[in-house]
Amino acid sequence: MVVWMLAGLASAAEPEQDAVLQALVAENEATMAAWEGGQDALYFLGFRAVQHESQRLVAIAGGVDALPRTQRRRTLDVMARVGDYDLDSTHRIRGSDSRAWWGSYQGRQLPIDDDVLALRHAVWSQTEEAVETARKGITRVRTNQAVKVEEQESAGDFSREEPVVDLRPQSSLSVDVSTWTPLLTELSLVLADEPDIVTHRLALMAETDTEWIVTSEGTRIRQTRHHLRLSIQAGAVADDGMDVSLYRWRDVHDASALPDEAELRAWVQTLRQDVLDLREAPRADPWSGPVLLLGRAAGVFVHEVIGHRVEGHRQEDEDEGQTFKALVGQQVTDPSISIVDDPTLAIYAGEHLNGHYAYDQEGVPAQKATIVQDGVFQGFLLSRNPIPGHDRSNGHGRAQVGLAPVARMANTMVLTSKPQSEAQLKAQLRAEAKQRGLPYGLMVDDLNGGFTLTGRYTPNAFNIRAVRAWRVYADGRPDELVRGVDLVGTPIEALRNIVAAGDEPGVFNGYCGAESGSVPNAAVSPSLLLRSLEIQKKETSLDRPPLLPKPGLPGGDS
Amino acid sequence: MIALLLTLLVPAHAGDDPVLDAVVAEVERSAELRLPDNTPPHHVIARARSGWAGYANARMGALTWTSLSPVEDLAVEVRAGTPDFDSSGLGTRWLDTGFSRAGLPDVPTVRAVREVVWRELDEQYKAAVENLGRKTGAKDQLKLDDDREGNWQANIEPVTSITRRELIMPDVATLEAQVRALSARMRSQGLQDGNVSISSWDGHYYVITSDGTRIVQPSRSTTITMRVEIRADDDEVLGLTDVIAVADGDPMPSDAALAARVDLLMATAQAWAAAEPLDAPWYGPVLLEGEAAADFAEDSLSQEISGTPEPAEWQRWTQKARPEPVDYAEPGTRLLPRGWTVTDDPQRSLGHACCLAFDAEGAPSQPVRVIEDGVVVAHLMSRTPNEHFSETNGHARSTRDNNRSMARPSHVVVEPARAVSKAALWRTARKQAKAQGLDRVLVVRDRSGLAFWRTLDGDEIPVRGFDSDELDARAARGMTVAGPSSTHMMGQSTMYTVPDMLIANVAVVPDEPSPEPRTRRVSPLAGK
Repeated sequence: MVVWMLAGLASAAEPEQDAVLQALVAENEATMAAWEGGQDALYFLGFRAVQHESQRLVAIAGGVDALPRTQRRRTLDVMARVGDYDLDSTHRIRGSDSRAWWGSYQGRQLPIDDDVLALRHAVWSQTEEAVETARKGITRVRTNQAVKVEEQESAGDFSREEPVVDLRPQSSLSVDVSTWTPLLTELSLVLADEPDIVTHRLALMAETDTEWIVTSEGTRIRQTRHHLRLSIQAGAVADDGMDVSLYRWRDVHDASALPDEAELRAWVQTLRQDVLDLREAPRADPWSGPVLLLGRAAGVFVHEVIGHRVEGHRQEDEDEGQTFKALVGQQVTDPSISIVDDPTLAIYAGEHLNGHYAYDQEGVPAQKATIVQDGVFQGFLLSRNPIPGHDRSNGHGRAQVGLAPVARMANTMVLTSKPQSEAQLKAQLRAEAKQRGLPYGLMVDDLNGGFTLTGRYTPNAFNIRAVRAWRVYADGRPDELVRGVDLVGTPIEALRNIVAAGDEPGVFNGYCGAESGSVPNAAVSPSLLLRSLEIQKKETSLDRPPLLPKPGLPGGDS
Repeated sequence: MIALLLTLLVPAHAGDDPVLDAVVAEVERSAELRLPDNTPPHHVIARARSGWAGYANARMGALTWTSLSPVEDLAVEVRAGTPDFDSSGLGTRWLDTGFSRAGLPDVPTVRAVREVVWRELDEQYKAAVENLGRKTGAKDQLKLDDDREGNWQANIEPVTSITRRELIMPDVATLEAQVRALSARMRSQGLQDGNVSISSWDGHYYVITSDGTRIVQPSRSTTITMRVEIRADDDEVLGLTDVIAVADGDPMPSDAALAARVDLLMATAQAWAAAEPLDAPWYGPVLLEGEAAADFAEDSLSQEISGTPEPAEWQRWTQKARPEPVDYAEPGTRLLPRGWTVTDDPQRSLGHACCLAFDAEGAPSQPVRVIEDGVVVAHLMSRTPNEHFSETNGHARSTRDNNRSMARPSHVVVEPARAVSKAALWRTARKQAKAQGLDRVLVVRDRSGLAFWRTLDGDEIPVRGFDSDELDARAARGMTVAGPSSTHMMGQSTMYTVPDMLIANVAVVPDEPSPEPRTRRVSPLAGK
């Protein structure tokens, strides 16, 4: 039996046996003491160390594309702040598109050996640079304050939070790859044997992140995150050159929740047929009309429409659209709809949620944040960057290694007080189409992500990258599969167009990218029926399909 | 754990070579690639690497990164058109011109490798046809290729040479122990930082071409890289690196020998930190010894003797092409004094990373005299002709990451008309200084940035702030005397055997000062 064990090197639970913790605490205290007093005094020093371990197994064409092997690394991010909570070295430099602290977070490597002195040396070297950046930063900030007119509204630069001490024992993640290897390689042949499938891969990835957060305020956190993803990808090229690629995956926190063999076999067979069907499907044309977003697709819709726009730091940035800033307390969607972001949930409706954590990257406990209650807009996601009217974090300060945390989504969830069955929603979709004199409404059941623009100088719009959509005909004809659909729109209008919701939540687990990097998250929603949404043509490759037949096929070229 | 998996996953037929079988099958099939109104590719080349790489890095005595992984990758180059005028030489070196790289499966099977090669050749054939169209359009706009005998040397004899051997998987645990121990020596030495890495590779290189060449050649190498950083009192920070390349068949240096190299590196760094900065420009004799002479030779010669033209640049935004830049020296150009010769001889160091029996296009590597009596007489050539030379001489080389190949040096041997002893060389230097009314000579021994004033009495005073890369290459023509020769690995894949060199009169300008911000605390390792 071959087993992946991602257990971490510093597996000791006791602080005195945890070399990383010892090094971080010692350097934090020594640095604060060295920079005490005077105009250049540090008032805050925060360390975030992450130990990342990962394993990956990939199968293609009956062989192993990537052998399982453990990769392990440790990295350090440093935040040094000079000044005080109200005005510090991170303050936005007005008239310039920058903050003074971009040099502070660096994601540099730490030793993976538990050698306290060597760890302290690495922390020291990076901290000295971060302090230097902060010292230069406060000078720039003070000069900028003196030169520019008084700021209209400022809520301060850093929120005051209670320090937390919570050193959780490290837990291990184990995966029996000796059963997965033959299964994945065997199933890859199902896709490899299909002449029209040009690319395919089956992958199992496992990772464990152990995170230490140590601050000069007294916070001492050690927490571990386990993550596994089982995925299948298959792609073909349509005769008009469009790449059609489908991806199925499941993200879980422990191996027991991965699909079993029977489910995986069914996934592969379904995916194979779905890709072939999609390759033959007609391309969609630009269109506007009623749209039914099924489960996971609805989750991504909400993520793109409202999610990034309620991230707190955008509300004080003069370059941002600030779509919802003036809508607090106002009706923004159907009264049956509520939207929350809740990182405290690890599992919902039997599905593991990718956006779960105990503490955010600023060491603040995860909290449920209510964004919309009964259709009325309530508030924002907050990091320790205060905004007017919100002077405390609600535990959403998130970042990937090497970048500074900002407020980010975690588990964004849509709830409804009037659930309807899928059959009822489809009937309503047909009725909406008929009412508008359209031959069909559109139903979207698969997508691979999306993006949104939140600034002022670009259209404040979103784009949802659907990969599979169906024309649902008003006259009751069978549904027709179409490809090449991107859903586009503007946020306020799109929210107002929600008219009904389903009775079963769909979960879309993924990774979301923004200025603090890529962070894991989940979008959870029942199906949503929108009165109107627009589709635009998807960008596409124009290359001809492969000129020669695929090699190695039974009965073909070999 | 990895070893156990391998026993589970190696192909069933021991002795088969799935990479070779798969690449050959798809390269042969590429003759059937044909877009409407176009011809099939006139030449296809596929290079693959298959083996194991081990790596360990430690900083100040503690491991920071370690890995053991299979290396399986592929590079393909497809040429559309005809050998006289083809899709090559326009675009950028890396993109959209018929060349691409791709990963191969960690455990190669014929079927899985063929799928990758099939996709890459299909995409690159289409890219090459498109680039040929661009180039045809640009032909009248620019003088492209006018003076060359075509774009590709066709009709050469294919070569078949299959040499395989049992691979030895790098022992990463040993590498880890070595880098820990070596970098631990750097603690408490007044250094700002220090780390040691060892990378080890054992595998096979494949070259398969559509004109029938089938090469499989083994390659094994280990590279040890040591780096220290030190801060001088004026807050200048020096980063100093020492690289040891262990050739195929050579034993690893002993732990004691490696420790001595670390100690020497630290001593050099400490001497640099203690040295006075060069505070004014120097005009006078400069004596280049050992690695410094090799560095100067590389700066002065490597581009000049490499004959592959850079591609003309296609500018997407103007839809125009810039002519190809020419970096090589015209034949007849004097680069060195009379009587000096330069030969590039890959056969001289077979087994080193620089030197393989066959080049990246499958041509047998061979010694080439490129400079005779101080004057350029030949270029190092791949199968891409230039305006002066049209035939390969086996010098096509790819970079370590399997990029597109071009002619480059492998083991450059510089021979002076007459070599004298170190003592005689110094006497000449002293005489030249005196004649110029100077009381000293600048002596440079390596690339560290540390140099020495040597007084006419022979005393040496360390000096820093001198950048050997700034020495004017034209000064090489003024060399009259050379000393004993030594061999040095420059970078990780080119060797130079050069004599100590005396340059009679050259300008040396101090580096711009660039002090690093001062730290308030010393490292917790200081004094521990």
